Amino acid sequence: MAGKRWQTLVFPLIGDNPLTLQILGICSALAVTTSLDTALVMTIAVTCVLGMSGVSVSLLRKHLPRSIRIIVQITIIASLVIIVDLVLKAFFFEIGKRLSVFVGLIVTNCIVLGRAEGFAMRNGPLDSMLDGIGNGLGYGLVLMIVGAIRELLGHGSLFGMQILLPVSKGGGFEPLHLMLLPPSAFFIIACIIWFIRRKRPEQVEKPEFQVRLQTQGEQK
Amino acid sequence: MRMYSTNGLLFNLNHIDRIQRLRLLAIAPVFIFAVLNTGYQYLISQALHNVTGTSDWRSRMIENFLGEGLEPDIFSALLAGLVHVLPVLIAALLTAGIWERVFAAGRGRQFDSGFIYLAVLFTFFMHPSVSLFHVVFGISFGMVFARGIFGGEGRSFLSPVLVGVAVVQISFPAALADHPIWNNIAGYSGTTSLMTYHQEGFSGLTWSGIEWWDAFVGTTQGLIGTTSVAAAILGGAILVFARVASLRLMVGHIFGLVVASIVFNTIAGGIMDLPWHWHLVLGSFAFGVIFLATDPSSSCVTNSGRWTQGIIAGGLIVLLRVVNPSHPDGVIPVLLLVSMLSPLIDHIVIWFNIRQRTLRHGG
Repeated sequence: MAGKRWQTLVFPLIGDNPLTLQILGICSALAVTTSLDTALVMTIAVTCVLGMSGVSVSLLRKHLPRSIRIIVQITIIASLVIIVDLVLKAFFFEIGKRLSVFVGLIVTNCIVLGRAEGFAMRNGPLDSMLDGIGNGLGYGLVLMIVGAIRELLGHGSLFGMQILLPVSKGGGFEPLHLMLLPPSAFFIIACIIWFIRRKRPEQVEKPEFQVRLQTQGEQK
Repeated sequence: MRMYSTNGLLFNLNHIDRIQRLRLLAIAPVFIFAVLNTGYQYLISQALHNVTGTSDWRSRMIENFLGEGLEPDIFSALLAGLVHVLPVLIAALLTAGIWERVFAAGRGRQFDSGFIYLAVLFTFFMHPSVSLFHVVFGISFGMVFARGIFGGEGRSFLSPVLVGVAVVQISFPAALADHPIWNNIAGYSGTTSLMTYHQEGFSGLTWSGIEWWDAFVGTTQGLIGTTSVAAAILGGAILVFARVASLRLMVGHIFGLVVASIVFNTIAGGIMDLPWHWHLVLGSFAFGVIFLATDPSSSCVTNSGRWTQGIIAGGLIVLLRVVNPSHPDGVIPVLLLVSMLSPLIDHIVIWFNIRQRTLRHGG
């Protein structure tokens, strides 16, 4: 049983990653990954919301009428997001300000609702919490990779510490302005997805239709 | 399974080798003019600024070869031009070739020589003093994303050249700010002429001594290969007569540009009153339209679609030029946008055609 719980926690990291396999939560992944510290704070925030919403929804699951379940789930998630937002404002004001609206937008992050509806409604509280934390960490893993690449190539720094000295300060590193723009996260996430699917071909989707090559017999 | 026959290289209109050779032939006049003009501009601007002993490796190379204080005659212009153009071209060719090789090997496909044309075009959109790292970065991006992953010879939905150039423009917007010799040239995206016009109006152009004829022949500062409208027209004529590029598309672009600039001339003054015959010769409009917009794989395939695409693109280029001073040229983003639109335009044309026929024959 412990092994199964461990699997619930670890499987979403790569095997069922919310960003790279389920392609959920891309919007916030583009927005908060310009630097590594915002990505880290966002990871922690999303993981907390996912874990707590998993427990709460799972505890309520037998008392929820089916017709209003989504409304109740969103209410729970929104309350949790408000708590996280207030905590950030109280203790990490600066970084909370840089994350701006995206903490509040965790409510609309598809991963949170997806896990509540897809997992917590059918499983016990402990499993749901582990699943939520696992998904949050899986989301965060990709966020941290993208954030590290973007901050390193865009500013030459990691966590705000200058690692590569830019040309303007006498170094040999030329900052890539492209990395500071949201589209670069698309390219980086695409490359991560490509890399993972190359290592794990079972994640590759079946083509929706097969292109048929024209053969000699069919030419007219 | 043979897709085409190998005989009749010159007459088989669908043979990819013929298209590739003709494209290289068409780009040759532009290349010759690009080398000469780059060298000429270097020499006159060096004489003007009287800069010697700069840390720029190109300038040092020219000083080593030719000595200082050169007369801008054709021989030294040729050498100075080669010093500027060849390293960029070689870097672009090598990088593009390596990526082509990697993708050909990884996917078990034939090694396709179409990358040569792409590398040459990419070189022409670079600035003479471009850092080679930018060249390698830009063409790698174009080759990997627009050719290796989304496309291939004849299948690209965006031209790899345009993607690469756009990425360089976006990534390194301020790379030229402090260059000693080329410092009066604004950005990768524009030419001095358009920038001057934006800042100082027509008096700026006449003050810099740029006449319409200069801009047409191309003896102005700018990107390596896109200054000369005359050379581009010569290459375009080869492409059109060989039926590789679509004349409708080119005329459509010109028509859209003329109409849009006349509209802007009548409604507003200030920077909007540049007349249409200047719009035609400034910036990289002529080069971009003749060699990039007519890429058959990323443009419309129906005739009405070609007209539509051309007119939209020509109009948008003028719009971007006159109302967005931060982006004086505007050709590259517009061409990218319009090649993304081209399948939609084709779709609408075909849908419209089907509807017309249904109505005519009582469906």
